[in-house]
Amino acid sequence: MHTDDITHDAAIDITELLAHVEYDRELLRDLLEVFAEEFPRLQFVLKDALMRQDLVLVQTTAHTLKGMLASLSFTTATASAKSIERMAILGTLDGISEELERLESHVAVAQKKLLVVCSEVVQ
Amino acid sequence: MKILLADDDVISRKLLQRTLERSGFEVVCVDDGASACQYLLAADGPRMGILDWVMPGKDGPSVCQEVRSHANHPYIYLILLTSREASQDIVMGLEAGADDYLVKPCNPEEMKARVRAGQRVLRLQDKLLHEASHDALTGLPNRSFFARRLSESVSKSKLRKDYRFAVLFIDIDRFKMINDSLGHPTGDELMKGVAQRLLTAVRTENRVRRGAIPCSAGEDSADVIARIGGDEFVILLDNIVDMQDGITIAQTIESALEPPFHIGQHEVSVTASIGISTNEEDAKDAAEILRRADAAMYKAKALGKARYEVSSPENSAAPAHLFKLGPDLRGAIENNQLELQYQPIVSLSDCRIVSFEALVRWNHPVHGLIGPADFISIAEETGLILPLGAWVLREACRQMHEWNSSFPSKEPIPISVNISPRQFEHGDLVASLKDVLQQTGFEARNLELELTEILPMKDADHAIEVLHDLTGLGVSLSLDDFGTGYSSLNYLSRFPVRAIKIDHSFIAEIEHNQKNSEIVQMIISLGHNLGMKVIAEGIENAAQMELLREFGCDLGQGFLFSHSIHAKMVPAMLMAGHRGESLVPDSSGYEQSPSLT
Repeated sequence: MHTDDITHDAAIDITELLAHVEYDRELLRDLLEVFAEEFPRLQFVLKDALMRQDLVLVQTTAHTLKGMLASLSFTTATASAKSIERMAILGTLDGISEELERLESHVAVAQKKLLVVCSEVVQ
Repeated sequence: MKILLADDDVISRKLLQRTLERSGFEVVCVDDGASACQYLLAADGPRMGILDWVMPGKDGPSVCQEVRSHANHPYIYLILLTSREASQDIVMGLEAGADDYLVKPCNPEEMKARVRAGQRVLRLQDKLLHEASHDALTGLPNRSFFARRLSESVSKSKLRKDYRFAVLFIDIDRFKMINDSLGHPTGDELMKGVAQRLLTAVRTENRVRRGAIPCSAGEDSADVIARIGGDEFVILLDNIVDMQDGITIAQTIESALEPPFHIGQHEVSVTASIGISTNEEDAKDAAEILRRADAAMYKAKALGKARYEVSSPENSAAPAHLFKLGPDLRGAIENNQLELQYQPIVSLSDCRIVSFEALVRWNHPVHGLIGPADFISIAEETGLILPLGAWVLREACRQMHEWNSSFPSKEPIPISVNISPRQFEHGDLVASLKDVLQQTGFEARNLELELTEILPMKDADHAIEVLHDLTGLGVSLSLDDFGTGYSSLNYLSRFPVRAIKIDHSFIAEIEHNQKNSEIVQMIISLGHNLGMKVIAEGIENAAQMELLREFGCDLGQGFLFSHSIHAKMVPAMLMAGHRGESLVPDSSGYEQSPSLT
């Protein structure tokens, strides 16, 4: 897949992301590495908070995730994080687990596509 | 510029950090609100903070509130990062103290533009703060800046008994005259030049011994040089050993001011009178220390200028009383507290009296007899010089007319009266003089008006017109303090002046000082070539008189012949003169008043 084919993909807005990093591919790879470490940690915190029904922690973790995903222009994953945050604010746990699953799947797609972009750059 | 970036989202933080660093900023990163506060409020901390709205512990708006609660801390430009776009949130953030906000994820160009806007605000604020605390002409700190730093030093001295500092109060001698004669632009340039020399003198001074107090982190212990008035400068010498260090700096300043200033086509020489005080004298507060330095400076002025004096209990009260003289002076004329004293002017060939100079004194009910040096400048500043000058003129004419009538001789004795620049400029000098002559019956030909050298030079064409109007009435004119101003020889030749009076500063030490001796000879020669009489002021000994005779000087006055004397002693002196007696040095035989001239 060529970069042009995925720039308008719903999971990630590559055009916007490249603008955010000012076309600095090295920075992009750094961010991906950081994300690869940070996302599982936040995933764990969120799931643990859900298990303990700690709505405040769910909300703040979802908020942090939302910001992180938005910074990487992970469009659909950002929307899922935003839904989780809103549900936590409203005090409902119903549907949060399902939304988290969707978020994880959106992230997986976006990450994969982003890796392709980064590897194309390296080549 | 240093920017604090506080964001718990590591991706966002890295992105923003890289963008800012690419733009040349130094970026400090933290991931919680408490650390942000700590960094922002530290001494020498960042001037700008970019704060995420939601952070662990303390959120962005709370950080803004805390920073703003420290009103004395230098202003920090705060930008909130928010993913919330609701208007009430933005309003809340701005109300909490933020200056601007950015919506995450940030567009790098927008962020850079907002940071640049923040820099402009900070620069403007710095400029306003600088202007509020600095003198626009010289760029030196101003009075309020100095007062603040002095108060800090006083506070420090209360905590550390071994901490010493000195205050030097510097007043440029005869600056008003320079301003009046050469114009304000030249005076301004001179002040800029003086400021530079003071800076150099203090900064390059390695001989000052510094005290044992180490500077704490972030504390600026440098000396402060400030301009607090037209020709007044003050210096705070921080962390010294004792008064000797203040004296060392005063001596350095006097040397630094010695070379003439070249301003446009003018070569201007200045001296300074310097007063020094230190916190060794157990002063209560900053104002007291400054006042003591001011008092010492007054003493330096009174002792002849171009010197320094250290603060002492004796001179510390002087300015207070001088400042209080202003209101008192208003009532001095009405309450008959002014009196005239008379100093004879003699012919140097035979030491016989040829005329008198009228000199005003103020018989103050509390402070006793005050010489003109202590109140004429106040009178000039307050405008009281006009009624005071008018009184002197009228009283001198009345008194001399009375003496000439009571003790007639072949030729009536003339009187000389000083005219201030303000009287000259006021416009009705000719008319009021006419009135005085009419009312007192004093003959105009027996009156000589003494004008300072700077006075007619200010607007020479107008001055020549007024001078001719005055001589048209029949009075004579002389130029007082000749040699201390900046006379143009071209104008001098056009002035209808009968005599020039050589300033006493040239006569002092004339017998030992070759330079002064040559200047005096040159002035005498100049005066004679212009058809003028030459009068030497301040003759104190026979050697000076002999030299002046040798140089061909016509007339003289000074302690050698007589101090200024009270009116009641004049008749005896007049009668002796009529009998052909001369004021032979050392055997005048007349009772003399205290040395106030």
